Amino acid sequence: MTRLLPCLVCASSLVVAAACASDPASPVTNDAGAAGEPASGGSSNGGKAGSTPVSCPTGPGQKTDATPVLVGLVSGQVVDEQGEPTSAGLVQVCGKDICINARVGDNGQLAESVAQELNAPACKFGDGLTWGKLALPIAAGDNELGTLMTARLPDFADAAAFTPGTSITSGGVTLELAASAHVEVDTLTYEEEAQQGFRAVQLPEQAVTQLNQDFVAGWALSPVETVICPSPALSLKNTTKLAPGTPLELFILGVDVLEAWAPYGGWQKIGEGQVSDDGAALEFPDGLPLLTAIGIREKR
Amino acid sequence: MFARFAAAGLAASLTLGCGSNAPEVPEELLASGPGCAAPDYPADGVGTETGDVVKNACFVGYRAPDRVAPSAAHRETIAFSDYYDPAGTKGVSLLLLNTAAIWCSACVAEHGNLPARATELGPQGLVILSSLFEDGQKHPASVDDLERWIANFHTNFPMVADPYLYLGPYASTALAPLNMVVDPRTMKILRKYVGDQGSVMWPYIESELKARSAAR
Repeated sequence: MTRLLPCLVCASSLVVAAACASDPASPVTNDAGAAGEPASGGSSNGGKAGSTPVSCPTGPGQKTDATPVLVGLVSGQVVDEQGEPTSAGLVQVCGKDICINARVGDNGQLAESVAQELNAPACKFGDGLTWGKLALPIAAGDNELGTLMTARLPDFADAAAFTPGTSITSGGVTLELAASAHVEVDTLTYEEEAQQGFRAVQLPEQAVTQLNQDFVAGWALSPVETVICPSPALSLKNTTKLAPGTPLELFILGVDVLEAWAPYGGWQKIGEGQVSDDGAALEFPDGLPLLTAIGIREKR
Repeated sequence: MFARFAAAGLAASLTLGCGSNAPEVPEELLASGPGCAAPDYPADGVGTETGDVVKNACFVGYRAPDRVAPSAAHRETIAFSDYYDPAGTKGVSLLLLNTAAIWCSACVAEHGNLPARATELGPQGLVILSSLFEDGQKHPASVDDLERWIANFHTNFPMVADPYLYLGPYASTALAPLNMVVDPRTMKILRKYVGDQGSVMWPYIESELKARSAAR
C-alpha cells in the first residue's frame, strides 16, 4: 500500500492532494455538492478544523425533523455476512443529540433499553473499521429490528491508497480520483495510517433487503465520512446482472449528525448513472462526494 | 483490549479522589502548582444530581490548549478545585462541565461549536471544562486521543482526558454527551443536560451570566 501523505497545513483531517496546499488558489469544485458552501476546513464529520486553506465544499444539507421522540427498547440480532452472530465492533442507538453505546451479547443479541428522548434516532451497526457501517432509522417506543446484517471490510493491508490521478478499487468499487483530488479522512476515528486507505465490501442480498429501500445492490465503504473533491467518478461491478443501458440511481446513507449530505440514519439520492454498454459495470460519472454506505436503485 | 480495560479499572480502584498517584499522571505534574490538593474544597453535599456538590477530581489535560501546544512536555494536572471560587476572585462566573467520546457523533458535532461559545462567553465569566473519556472503539481515552481531539477542533478551553471515568457517575458511561452547569462559588450543579441540548442550555447559561454580572 502506498503511504498516504498527510497535508502538513491541515491540523486535523488527513488531506491528500495533488499539490498539498501548495496552490491554495486552485479551484475546489464538487459536482454533486453544487449547493454547498465551502467548509471552514477539516473533516466533514463535525470535526472541523478552522484554518485549512483548501477544503471540500460541505453538502447541501438534509435536515430531519428536530422533534425528539422517546425511544424504549431497541432489540434485534446482529449477524455477519454469513449470518453468524457478531457484535459488529460497535452498535449504537443515537440521535443527533445523544449517542448510546448498545450492549450486544455473544450471540449478537441487541436489547438496549434506551428510555431517552432522541432527536432523529437511528440504530447504527458496524464500526466502519472491521465492519461495514450501516444504519436504520428507529421510531418512538419499542423497536424490534429483527436481523441486522453487516459485512466484513477487506483487511487493512488490502486497502487502496488515495493517490490523486489514479483509479482505486476495492470490493468491486472503483473510484476515479482527479489529479487535483483532495481527500479528507476522519483521523479521529481512523487514527492509524493503515486504517486510512480505501476499502469496500458488497452487501449480501439480505443486508440490502433489510434497508427497505428497494435497492438492487449495496456496498459499505471505508473510511466512513471521507470527503473527496472533486467527486470521483464511481464504477461498481455489475454483480446483479442488470442489462446494459439500465438507468440507475445512486443513494448514500447519512451517519453524520450535521446531515451535510444525507438525513441522519436515512438515504439521499446523490446522482444517476447506468449499466455500461458491455454490461460489466454500473457507472456514475457525476461521482461520489462522500464515502459511506451506498445503495443502487433502478430508475423509476 | 482487555488488558487496557483491566489496567484502567485497577488504576481507578487505586486512585479514587484527588491527591493520588494515578499512573498516567506524571509525578512532576502532580507536584507542581495547586495540583490535586484542595483542602478548602466543599466536602458536604457531594452527589451527582442537580443541587449536589460535584466531587473534586483531577485529570491530565490542557488548561489553555490554544495557547500551549499540546505535547507531552506541556501536559498539566487540572482539577475541578482549580475553578472553585468561593470569594469570586478567580473571575469564574459559571463552570460548564462537558463530557465527550470519539465514538459519539453528537459530541463531535457539539465540539464543532464549543470553541465559538468559549470565545463569546468566556469574557463574561464562563469556563468550559470538557473531558474526553473514550476513544472510537470504547477504550479509555488516552492523552494522545485528547491531543488529537484538541487539534481537530482547535479547542480553546480547558480539556482533559478522563480514562478513569470520574464523570461516569453523573450519567451512564454508555451515553454522551453530558453537560452540567456548575456554580463555582459552591460547586453545586445548577443544571444537568443529558445530550447536546444547546437550544435550552445556552439560553440558560447566557441569562445566568447576565444575572451574575448584574449582581456584582
